[in-house]
Formats: sequence, C-alpha cells, structure tokens
Amino acid sequence: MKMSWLLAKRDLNSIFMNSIIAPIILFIFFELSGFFFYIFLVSAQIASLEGFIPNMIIILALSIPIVVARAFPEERKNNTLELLYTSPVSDTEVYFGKFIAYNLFSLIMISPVIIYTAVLFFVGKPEILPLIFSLLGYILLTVLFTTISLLVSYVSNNQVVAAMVSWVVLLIISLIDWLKNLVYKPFFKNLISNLSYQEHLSNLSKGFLDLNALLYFLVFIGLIIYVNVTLVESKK
Amino acid sequence: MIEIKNVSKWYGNLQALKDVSFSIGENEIVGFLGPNGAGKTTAMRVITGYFLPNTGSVRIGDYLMDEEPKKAKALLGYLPENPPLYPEMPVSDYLKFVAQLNGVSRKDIKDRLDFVIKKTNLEEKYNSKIKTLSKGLKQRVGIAATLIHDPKVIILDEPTIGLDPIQIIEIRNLIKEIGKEKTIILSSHILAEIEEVCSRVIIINKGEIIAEDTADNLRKKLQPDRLFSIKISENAEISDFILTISGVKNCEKNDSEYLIRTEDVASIQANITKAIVEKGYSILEVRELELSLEEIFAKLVKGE
Repeated sequence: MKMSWLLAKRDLNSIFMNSIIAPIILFIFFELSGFFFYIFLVSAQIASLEGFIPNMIIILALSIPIVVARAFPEERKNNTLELLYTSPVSDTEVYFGKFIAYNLFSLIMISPVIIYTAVLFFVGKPEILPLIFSLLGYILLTVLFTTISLLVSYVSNNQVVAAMVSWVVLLIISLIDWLKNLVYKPFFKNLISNLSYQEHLSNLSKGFLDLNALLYFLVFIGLIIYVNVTLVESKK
Repeated sequence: MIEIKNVSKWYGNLQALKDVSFSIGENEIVGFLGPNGAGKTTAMRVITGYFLPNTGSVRIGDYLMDEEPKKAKALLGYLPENPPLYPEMPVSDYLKFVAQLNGVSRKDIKDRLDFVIKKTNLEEKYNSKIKTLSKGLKQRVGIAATLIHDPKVIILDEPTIGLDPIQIIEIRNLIKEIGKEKTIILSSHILAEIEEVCSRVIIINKGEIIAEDTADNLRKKLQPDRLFSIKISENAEISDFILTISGVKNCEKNDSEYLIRTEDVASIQANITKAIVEKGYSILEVRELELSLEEIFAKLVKGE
C-alpha cells in the first residue's frame, strides 16, 4: 500500500504537471456542474440533488475517460512500465497506484458537490438520508467509471483510442437501462433493472440503505479491478 | 550472484530463449553479445523479472525470482536500452522517486542522490526537467537511477548509446569502477567496449548461448594457431628460410611483411627472430595478429 501511494502521488503530480488536459477538464466540469446545480435548484425549488446527479452522469462519462486514458499508454510511451515492473514493487501495487491516483482526480472533479450540498442546507431543509445516499451513489458511480476507463487504458496503446473506447463502453453500460422498456417478461425486466446503474442510483436517492445497490457497485468495481490486475500479471 | 537455469521463453509460437543456463559470480563484469533479435533483451528482461520464463528459474543472490520477486528485484539495478524516464520530472525528483521505489530510507536518500549525481556528472542538471535534456544526459540520468539504491547486481543494456566519445570513456570507467564491488551484465553492440570492460563474454544467438568464456579463451578456441607479422629492413625473399625454423607451420610474404603461423608464442620469440637476425637481416617490427572480438563474434554467429 505504501508503494501504491508513492506511485499514486507521482501519477497525480503528472496528471496536473504533464498535460493541460486535466486542468481544462476540471475547469469545464466545475463550470457545468455549477450551472446544472443552479438550474435544478431554481427551476425545481427543492433542496435536493435528485435532479442534479442524473444529469451530471453524462458529463462524468464524457470527462473521466479523457483524463484516465493516458494512465497506461503514457507509461508505455516513456518505457517506464519497465522501471516499475523491475523494481521491488508488485504488479498489484503498480495497478493500485494508478487506481488511487485517477480515482482521487475523479473525486476532486466531483468535489464541488460538497459545496452544493452545503448550499442546500443554507437555502432549505433537505432530507438527510436521501441526500447522503445520493452522494454515496454519485461517488460509487464515479469510481466505477474511472475503474472501467483504467481497464480500457491498460488494454490500449494509444490514449486517444483509449478515451474513445471508454466512451463507447460507458455509453453501452448507460444504455442498459433503456432495454428495460423493450422487454415485457418480468424476469428479463428484473434482470435488466439489476444490471442498470440508473436503477440502483434511483433506489439510493430514495433515502434507504439499499444493500442491493451497494453490492452492485462494489461487485462491479471489484470485478473490473480483478480483470485488470489479472491482465497486468498475465502480460508477463 | 546470478544463476539462470534452463530458462525458455515463448512469445506465442516464437521461442525467444531456448533452455538458457549460465551463472555469474560476485563482482564479475560479463558482456552479453548477440546479433539483433538473438534474445539478449528477452534474457535481460527475464533476469530482471520483467518477464517470467515459461520454464526454468532465475536466482538473484539467495532469492528465486518467481518465489520472492521483491527481494530478488531489490538486489537489481536495470537500465534498459531506452532509459525509463518521466519527462516532466526534474532530475532530482526522478532519482528520489526511483530511490523510494527501491526502498531507500528517507535518511539515506540525500547521500545516495549526492553520490550518483556526482558519479554521473549531473550536478548542473540537478533541477532541470528531464524533457529538456539531451539524449546523452538522459542516458546518464538512467545510469544514475540504476545506481541510486546501491544494488548488488547491475544490468545495463547498451549504456553508452547516444553518448559522445568523452562521455563514453567516462561511463566505461564508471562501469569498471563500480564493477570492483558489484556484479554487472553489460550488453553492447560495441565489441571493443565489451572487451575493454568485461572479464567474460556470453554470446547468444537465436535464443541459445553459443559461447561463454573470456575473450582470450574464445580466441584460443577459434584460432588455435598464433599469427605473427614480421617486417625486415632488407627487400629479400626469406619465406623458405622461415619455414625451416622449428615451430613455424606456414609463412606468406605480403609486400614487406611476412605472415607467419606458429604453434605457440615462445617459438616466435626464441627461434624465429633469433634465426632471422643470425641470418644477417634486421627486424623492423614483430606484431601478433589476434582475432578481434568482432571476428570471434562473426565466426561464432555464422557457425564457422
């Protein structure tokens, strides 16, 4: 873990120092999230993040891959994976270095939501539990999108290709929910509901601890991590 | 210090290493030679744990690479052909990062940093970003990173590539100096460099080790006879006379010099020069013609 943190610090530094993409994405994301928050607060006149978060998902799905796409192709370009894999650091630690760095970036990106939450308390009386679980869902979805983008970045040698493939993958995952309207059999409807992150986010935003939703995100994220670590190890 | 046993490595259907075995003792500098695509880089990557072999084992010090990779890797410093550098980092930050990666304690980092910066003459580039450095300077940063954690084994893949002649001499001297207390594997296309620096060479071709010895012993094996050139001051034909001298196997005249093939060195010293002088001729030059490492390499690779 100590080594992963060392690698993560270097990566975080590189995200901000080696490219202007990350600061630009941060700026755009901050502007758009502020705009959406203001619009939903003014139009709905409800102290809640219920309208804000679902509309931020598309911005999240577009922004995260652009930054995360560089994670592994950049190391390959600099030949530095050879440095990492021949140092006394395990492959898993190398992966988690990236995982920590890019998730921290994504969390920094969504961090203004804390200010928006404070604003809600200032202008109204938001319901605490729906707010907390909505935030939890928002964070878990951010981690999921980042983890998926990291996997795509690992299997790609080019960061532009990695970003585009990540968009397609996140789009496909986002479209699962739409399939619900195309099937009639309850079994399939139920199955699709269980696979749709929108369904789980919606359940969490109702304000009760939906273990099914938490399990969905944790298992999905865990599975992607497992696949990525296995790929890193099998590459040798 | 390094023991490679029956290592084979496949890339799909291509076998890059075929049952390779060799060992290298402490404080030995060994040259690794082979034509392009022979398997040198694969062998180095297997030794450093970048690749795991399909069969066989790699032991660094007391540790098997597949059983205790962290401990084995901690003994290694590796400089690949293209130095692994983060261009946005200043030289000092990069070296500190590599030191931490290799477990150098916080209190020792400054001393190690000062040591490698001085050894590689990077004092003036201490705070420069790596992307602003020339190829030669980047190579020196790579070498500094290889030494930063004071490893017992150093593996260098073409370390002098891209350096100017003065830097090449400095790096070769550095390798010789650190080789006094460390085990070094050096891969280079410059065979004179290998001969100058290494005590032993391993020649690899098509994934197999085809020779492993000192350059002198390889010479003896490939050229059992000694070849000498003798120049005399007089323009006379004395080939037939030289052939009568004990120990001489063959003699050819080439302009003013005689190329003489003999069984051993003593015979030329004791018999030939004495006989020629006694015959009344003046000797201008006596020179032993040895196979160069390039010639040894070419003979072995071509299977001559």
